[in-house]
This record gives sequence, structure tokens and C-alpha cells, in this order.
Amino acid sequence: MLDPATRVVPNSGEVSGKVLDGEAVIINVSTGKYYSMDGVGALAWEVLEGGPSVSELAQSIAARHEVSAATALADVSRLIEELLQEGLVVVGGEAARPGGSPPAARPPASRARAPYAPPVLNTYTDMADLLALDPPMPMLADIPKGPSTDGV
Amino acid sequence: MAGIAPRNVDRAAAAGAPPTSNVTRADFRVLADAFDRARSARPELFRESRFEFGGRAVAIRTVGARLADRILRPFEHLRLEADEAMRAPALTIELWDERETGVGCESCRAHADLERPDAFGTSADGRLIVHERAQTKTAFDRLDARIVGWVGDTARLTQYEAGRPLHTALLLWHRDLGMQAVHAGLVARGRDGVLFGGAGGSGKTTTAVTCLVAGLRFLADDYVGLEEKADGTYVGHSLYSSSHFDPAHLKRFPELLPHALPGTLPIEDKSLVLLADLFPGRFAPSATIRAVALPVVRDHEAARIRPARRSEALLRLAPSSILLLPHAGVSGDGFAKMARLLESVPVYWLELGRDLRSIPERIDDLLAKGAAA
Repeated sequence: MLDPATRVVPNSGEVSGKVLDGEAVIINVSTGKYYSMDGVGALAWEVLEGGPSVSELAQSIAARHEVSAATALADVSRLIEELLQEGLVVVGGEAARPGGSPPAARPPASRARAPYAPPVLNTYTDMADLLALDPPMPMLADIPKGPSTDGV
Repeated sequence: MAGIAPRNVDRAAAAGAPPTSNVTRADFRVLADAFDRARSARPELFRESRFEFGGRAVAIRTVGARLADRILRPFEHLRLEADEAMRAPALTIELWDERETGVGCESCRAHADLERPDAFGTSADGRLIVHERAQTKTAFDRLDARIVGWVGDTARLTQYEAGRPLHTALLLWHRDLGMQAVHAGLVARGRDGVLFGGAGGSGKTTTAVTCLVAGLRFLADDYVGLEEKADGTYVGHSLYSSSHFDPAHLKRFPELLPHALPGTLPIEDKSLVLLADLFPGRFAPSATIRAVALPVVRDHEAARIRPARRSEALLRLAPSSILLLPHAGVSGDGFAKMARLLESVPVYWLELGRDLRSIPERIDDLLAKGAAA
């Protein structure tokens, strides 16, 4: 199991993700694979965008769902290992938090917790074959708009 | 997926070499000078036309009568009228045909191996992009918004190149303007449109062409340039009026059969139809997106709509769109832009039944829902 103090952040250089209607949709452009997670998995992705540690993420989930701290930690650890293996997140320190933002805060203790189901990462590989047929485009940096002063 | 040049899946084992990053201005100059020589050598074959791409005026200059006829046809629905054609171009495209003009280019070599993957190269700063295929070589200066291209022999262009000319360069240009290339179809009533997304085989072409035949405006069946406006609306821009049909699919549109251009090569298993030739006046350069539909083929009689989860729509729309131009999607905020679109308009499944005539009726239902939202 991962060290609970390990911090992770989305691999923003290769990955885009968004939570809509309680479901996380994630794409890795370097592999062509894309993913979805609902329920606890979607919550995990939202919290991950803040660069939490494994234990912080587990605490966020346990605060919102009817699950023990130990089970949450074990399931979160497993999920993060899977996300690392897929290249969707990377290990990062305190400085890796986007804009230095803290992880999502816990809800007030009085709020009822939702039923719990372990997070599941659904993987789709149908685009991966198509990506393999064409050479990957080079990383395209933004360029200044407008005509140059030294046109060719 | 028609958004990427059709290829045999077996070629995955022979994927092309990674792009190089040693393109220089001298490489661009070689092509530009050759274009100028072709124009000087055969001025009677020179032609300049103006079109609207992505809401901007674009100048396409060609040297070669056959080249102009073939390359410009998929864009005819975007041709600017005389007064609008005076607008300063936001993009200039210059192409010449070596066989027609007799003018070659020292760095351009045609080959007959259509199985060979495309070759890409960039300059170290990413400003210049060079793209080589069997009969073409284009160089795109992203800063000056200028594309120069050599065609060895227009008659030997592939069906894909005839139906989707300059596809990669134009997607890059749209991206540089802040637009996201979306793998989707788009039809409209007036300037209010319904975007429908999904991977190959989901029914985008069936939906788009059925609507065109019924009198709606056609903007795309495969590729849309998505622009986010300051007022929070989203505009879809048309690029090509062409469509590719497999034989079984084409039989559902008997009025298109006489105009279908079959492929000439073993890998070209679809027929190309230049729709603007058949339905003049039923096209629009752009439309405001009022609803998003997710086509899916079902075994019932009439088409139906039912609400879809926005996450389902993003799963359908984003992957093939992002992979049209992989790194542009991540660095250019494209994924987030598609998500914001889906948060702003109604999203529905469009279940396609056996009765194709009911599809435009459901599209009109979606436009009504979009207007009410």
C-alpha cells in the first residue's frame, strides 16, 4: 500500500479530466485511453485536482460516505496505484498542488453520509488503436498571434 | 473514423517515425519559392478564391486548373461573395501542381507507397509544421498563418485528400484561433444548430444527410470547429461539405448514388459525395449550438429522443475529438471547452429507427428544447 503521506496530482501534461453529473471523464492523450468513474471515484478525482495526500483523500471520502477510515484508506490507495499505473496522476510534493490550493475541505460532521461503494476505474481502449496508426503530433506550444516582422 | 485518414488496422505494427523537430525557415522558403516559380511559369493557371473558415476570410491561391477544381470543391459552400471577399484574409493557402505546371521542388518527392505513414516535422519553436504524404508536401507557418503546398499530380490524390484537403493543417489553424476540433456532425435551422457526436458508426452521417435531404442546413457530418463566445454561447463552424459512405450506407440515400465517387485504391472502401454539388443553398458556414444529440442506432420504427447524462455526452464526444489533434486538446483547453458546452445546452440521446424521415422531426424537437432552455 502507498505511503499515506504520498501526494498526487493529475498528470496535466498528458491528461484532461472533468466531473459532470457526478461522473468523472478522463482522457490520456499519450495513450489514447479514456476512463470514467462515478460515485466515490468521481469524488476522488475532484479532490485529486487539489493535490492531496493519500490519507487526505481517504479522509475526504470517509467524511462523506458510510465507510471506515481503514477501508477508505485501503480503497483509495488501490485506486491511486491504478491511476499512477495508467499515467493519470503523478506523485508530487506540496509544491505540486495547482496554484497551491488545499485539498477539498471536509463537510460538517452533522451532514448525513452517503452509502459507500469502492471506486472503480472504467477503462476504454477503442481509441488507442486509432492513435497508434498516426504519428503523434508534436507538443504544440501556443504561438503569438499576428504577422511576424521577419516573414519568410 | 473518418476524421483520420482511413487505414488498414494492420498498419498499427508499422506506425510512422516520431515527428522531427528540425524544420527551418529555409524549408518553408523552398516551397514558397517553388510556388512563386510555378505562378510565374503558368500565370494562366493561377486562380485566387476566398472562403469563410472559422468565421474568418481565407484566401486559397492555386496554380493548376485540375488542382483548383479538385481541392476547392469540398469548400464551395463556404465561398465568399464578391463584396465579402474583399476582407483581409486571416489565412493564406498557396498550392501548385507539378504535373500541370512543370515546376517541381527540390525537397518534394512523390512516391507510390500509400501504405507509408505520413511524415510530420516541426521547427524547434513549433511555429512551422511540415506534413508529407505520397503526392503532397505542405508547410504551415502558424505565426504568419500561411500554408504553402506542393502536389505532385492532382490525379493521384487519394479520395481522402480530395474529400478533406489540408485536414491536419486546417485543424491546427482552428486550434491556433482557440477553436476545438470536434468529431461531430452539425445541422441547423437558420443559424440555430444541433451538434451530434459519437465515434464512427454511431449515425452522424445518417443524421446529417437525412436532415440535409429534408431541408435543414448541413454544416458537417464529421468535423466541427467549436468556438466559445464571450456571451457564453457556442458556435460550430463548418469546414467540409463532403461525406464518405460505405456501400451499405449509401443505399439508404438513392438520390446520392449517381453522384458517389468510388475509391480507386484498395484501401478506399467508401464512396465520396460532394454534397454541396447536389444541394446548393442548404449549407451554412456556422451555427449557434442550441442542443447536443448522441445518435445511436436502435431497432424500432421512428426516431426518438431521451435525456442523456452530460458525462455520457462527454464520453461520446471528447475522446475521438481530442485524438484528432492530441496535444492541441490538452494544451488548448479543448476538453474543458467541450465540457462547458455540455453544461450550457440540453443533451439528449437520439435513437435512430428504421424510418429515416423521422430524424429531422426529432432534430426540430431538440431545437425547440434548446430555444426553451
